[in-house]
Amino acid sequence: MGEVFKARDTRLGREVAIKAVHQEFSGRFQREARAISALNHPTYAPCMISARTIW
Amino acid sequence: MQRGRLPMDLVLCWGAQIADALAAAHAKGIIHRDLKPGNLMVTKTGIKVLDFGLANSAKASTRRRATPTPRTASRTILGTPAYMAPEQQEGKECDPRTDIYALGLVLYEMATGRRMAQDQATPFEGLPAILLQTVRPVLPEIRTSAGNRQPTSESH
Repeated sequence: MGEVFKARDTRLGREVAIKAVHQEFSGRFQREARAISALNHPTYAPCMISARTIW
Repeated sequence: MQRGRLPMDLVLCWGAQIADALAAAHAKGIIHRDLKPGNLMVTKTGIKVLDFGLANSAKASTRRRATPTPRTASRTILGTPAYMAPEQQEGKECDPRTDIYALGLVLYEMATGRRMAQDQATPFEGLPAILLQTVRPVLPEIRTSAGNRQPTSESH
């Protein structure tokens, strides 16, 4: 489906995860971002940014 | 979890955290639909529930029901067979109980170190009903061509 990278937000100095998916799963990805954004609970990794890039 | 059964205090502690996570999602009308050990991450601060790729909100599914969808689309089964509740296996509407069923299987696996499907009597019992209907007619063929050998690997 895609890949998840462990990364460092150098500006805010914190660790983040970057999840990138193939275009065919963009609908599913969007739903996931929306579902997580609706939740505010310590057991979920919060969604910071959801962006769409095609390369 | 791959390293075997967990001590009971961890099963209870992590189990309660997962149950809490599900309760928070269900309160917002979100059903995870793919809860399994592979989607759970142990961090310093406790359990994280990952991968909401299959999650759907109750509101969205009501909307979807109002518009007729093609038969194939409505019968698409998404999820991980070993952790799917019967209604999910049959491609029916899911609700919070779908996640609670999966939580039960995860708790079983944490407490015993074994996957529920491994403990079932027949190797095909864990298969979704729709898949079973497809698989059953060809089973005798497979068995004959395999020279009556017992299946050695897990089917899912």
